[in-house]
Amino acid sequence: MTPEESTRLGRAWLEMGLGEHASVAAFARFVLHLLRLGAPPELLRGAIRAMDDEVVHTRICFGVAKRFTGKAAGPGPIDMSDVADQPADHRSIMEAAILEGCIAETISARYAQVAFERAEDRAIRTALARIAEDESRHADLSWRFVHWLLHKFPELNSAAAACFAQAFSTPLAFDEEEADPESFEKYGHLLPSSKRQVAHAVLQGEIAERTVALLGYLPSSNTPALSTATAQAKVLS
Amino acid sequence: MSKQLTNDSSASNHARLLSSQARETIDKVAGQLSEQSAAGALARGKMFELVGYFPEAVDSYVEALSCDRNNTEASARLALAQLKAEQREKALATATALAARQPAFKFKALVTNEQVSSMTVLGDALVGNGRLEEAKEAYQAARKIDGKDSYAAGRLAELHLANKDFKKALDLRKDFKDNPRFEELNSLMALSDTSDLLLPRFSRESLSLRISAIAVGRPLLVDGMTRFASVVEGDEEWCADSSEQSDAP
Repeated sequence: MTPEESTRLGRAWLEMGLGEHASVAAFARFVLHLLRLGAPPELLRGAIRAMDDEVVHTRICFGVAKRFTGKAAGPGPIDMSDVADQPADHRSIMEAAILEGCIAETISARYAQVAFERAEDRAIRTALARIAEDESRHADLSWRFVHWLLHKFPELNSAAAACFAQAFSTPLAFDEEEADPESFEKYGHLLPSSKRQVAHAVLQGEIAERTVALLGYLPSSNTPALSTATAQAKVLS
Repeated sequence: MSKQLTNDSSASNHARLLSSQARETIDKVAGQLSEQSAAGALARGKMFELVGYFPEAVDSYVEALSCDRNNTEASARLALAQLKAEQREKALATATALAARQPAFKFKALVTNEQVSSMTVLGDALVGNGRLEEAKEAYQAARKIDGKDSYAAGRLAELHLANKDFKKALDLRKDFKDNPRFEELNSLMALSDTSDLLLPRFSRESLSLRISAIAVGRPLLVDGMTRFASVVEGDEEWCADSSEQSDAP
């Protein structure tokens, strides 16, 4: 590995660390949402534990980054302006949980799992094993929360279906350029092409199945998907 | 929809139909491609749209409107091209203005025999912007303008299914069952005609998601954008010590 590649790999782990760090804030907001809704203690404890997990993940990622960059680094302050101003009605909370938890976190849990499988560095494999297991649990928490919420507020079912449909019908944005070498995957950094494959597989597999289990059907299949090749074939031409 | 429920001859027939209609459209516009006029720009837009060059199609339709701002067909095609080019908000603005101006305007789809109205285009634009209830109203208005608008019927059925209004969706089936565009939906509904337990298995290639920069963990989304902290160098407290042996360079 050249010094430049080492620096780039370190930067990739720094970005992962920032993602984990931001998750602490995302779960903090989730805890507030749970309190607002009168959620049961099992969900509250799960969210609080998730916050702690994400702090651990952040330190893991920055620790790995230091190995490759040669420099210690950590996250600075996050701009929290407007975070508290986000809509906090039941529907908005549910939509946030669906988007950030059921979908994004389920995908990211699979990223971690695949990254673990492809990594060859022992310390990185240990780190990713921990992250993958925790993220999977966090994703489960989101699905349990949405299930609980829809049971408590059944009038939200249509909105949940629309949210899943909307989420399924917009394209996943990835960098198209693959500037990093394939060897980075040995060190736990998935390339954009790998992420794209994993994300689509998870969407078509686990997330679709869990959505069906949650709602009884797959609403995304019924919404005109306007931004993919298949969807474009459906739009008038 | 599972591909097992379609058969080769059905797909071949559909492809042949699309092919002949695409050829017909190409033949009609080919002679106008070089014209520096609204008609020429409209022709270029259609050609770009046919081959999937949607941003270029948008530019051409805009050019057509700059030559003739009352060109209703250019407006309608612009809205659709904007949707395909993922310019959703612009598409909605274009479609809304068109529907207000000419709600009953009808035109022929480029590669199918569908005759659709401005209200149908508005419905598509509303769906593209996540406004599903309003989209239903637009498609219903389109069907009032033309009871034979099978495209609007199919779209409306899809929206009813999303809302678990199975009966309403099934009631629409007769109005789109002959439209090849909705072959999969029609086949599925044929199976489910006697049951509310619809379990759609549509092509999952249509599933996609946009969350900018899914990295790891749960994103902190504010107004749809992810938020991160910046990196501060020199902070040892955040660097966990990996005491395991490693292959690090």
